[in-house]
Amino acid sequence: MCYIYPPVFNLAQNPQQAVVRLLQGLKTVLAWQTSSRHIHKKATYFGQRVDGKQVKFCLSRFCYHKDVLQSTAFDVDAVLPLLREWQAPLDNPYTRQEAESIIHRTLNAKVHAEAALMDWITTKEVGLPIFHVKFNYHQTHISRSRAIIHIRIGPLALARNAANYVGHSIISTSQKDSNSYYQVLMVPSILGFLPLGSLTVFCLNSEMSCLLHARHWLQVIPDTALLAPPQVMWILLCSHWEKVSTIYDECAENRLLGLGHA
Amino acid sequence: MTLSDFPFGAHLQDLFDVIASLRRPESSDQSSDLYPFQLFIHHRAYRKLGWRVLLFSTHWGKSPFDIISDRLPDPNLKSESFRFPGGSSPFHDTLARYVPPESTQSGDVYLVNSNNASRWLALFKSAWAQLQSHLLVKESYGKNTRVRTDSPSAESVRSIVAIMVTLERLIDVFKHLLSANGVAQALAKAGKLESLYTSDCCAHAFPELAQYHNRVQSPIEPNTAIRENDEDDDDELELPNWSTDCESRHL
Repeated sequence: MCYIYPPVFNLAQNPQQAVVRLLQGLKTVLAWQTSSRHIHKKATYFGQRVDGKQVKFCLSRFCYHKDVLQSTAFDVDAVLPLLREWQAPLDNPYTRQEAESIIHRTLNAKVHAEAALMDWITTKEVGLPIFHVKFNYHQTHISRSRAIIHIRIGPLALARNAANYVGHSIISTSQKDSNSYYQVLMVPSILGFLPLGSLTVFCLNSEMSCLLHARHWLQVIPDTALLAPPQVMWILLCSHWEKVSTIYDECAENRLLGLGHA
Repeated sequence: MTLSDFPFGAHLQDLFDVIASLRRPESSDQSSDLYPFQLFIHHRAYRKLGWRVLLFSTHWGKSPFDIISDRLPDPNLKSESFRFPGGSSPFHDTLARYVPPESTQSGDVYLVNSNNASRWLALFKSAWAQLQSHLLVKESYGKNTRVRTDSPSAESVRSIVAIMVTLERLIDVFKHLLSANGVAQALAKAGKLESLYTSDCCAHAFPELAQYHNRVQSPIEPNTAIRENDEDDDDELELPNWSTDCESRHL
């Protein structure tokens, strides 16, 4: 995207704009300082919170290995094609633009040794614009204080672990048909940020697709929040790309039937 | 070691290994691995960091610190106090050399006002000059400055990170200095030079800089890695409030 500065006379009319630019310039110089600390905080957080090996496990999945339940060694040769795949994403023109942006910055990394993987991790603009239209959750109740959603999920242990993982709590379970339903209590502060990506991981780990009634759900989440997945989560999502694609096809069919968010 | 020693694949592999190895210290006695992580990142990113430093230094026609300095004889700066917790450290020693703190019951307080604005600015100018000395080189002939092409030494990288930490911790002080009388107007006036960087004139005087500018398509490249509200993310994630301020132990 071409960044066009206002004409010079506008600067004279609004000198504070010059101050803003100067501060932005200094922050850009400090970018690696701030981003490296941020990444360290995230990586060590997930390493501490979940499992000492979880971060490495998550990152290793970045290799896009088919056997998603087996941690594998990081394979550069597998990662590079994945990066290139973003040059031609499936069907979303906005995703294509984002992908080109990623590729551009990734190539910058090659030239300038910018921390490419860090950039991937910290690139919040990607991921959820894809995923939030792919995954939806059946939502039974929303109030000002909390929202309860139903998630069809696999074994209870997985559900509990996932709920703990994202700081939610399971408040009840029920059986319908051959599936277990778990009510997950989500506080508004989390509503605005984390759950979509987390629950995506949640569901993917259990190899179950989500229910598809999300209109209200999406309405309560600001668009800007939808663009803000936690960085490490994004790697998790990326590692499950194959399953995402599969479920996305299912969701697309349901959207055509008017069942999900279009 | 040069950039060619780090092809993209090797860089990805290294980065993966480093991030995967990051661990939160199990006790306060243990040193965090944040500092070596920062060293690694800045060592690999020295070229682009150099470009950014060069761009910041030349974008306004001359160093923005000099522009501010010209306005400080009559700054009319409102007095504000700042605190930099962390106890004794090289960072605090550096501060004390320029602006000694005032001791209060609740700890040391650093004032920024009209009387000491020039000393604060001297600190910034000194830090920036050091940063330039580690990342930029003067061409053997001519007056042009360019980004170094050889990899900085380990000692240089340590200094770079130390300066980065200092600048980052003092950015609110810098912001306050920018509120001094006439600074914004002076920067706006100097901003007229911005257009030069996309012109043939710039391409002639700073060919590499013009090339970099054209590539990033922005005089000052926005930092897309971290958004300003990232700290809020931590709150949402309920991240524990542990200290990551390892810099204070290293600087």
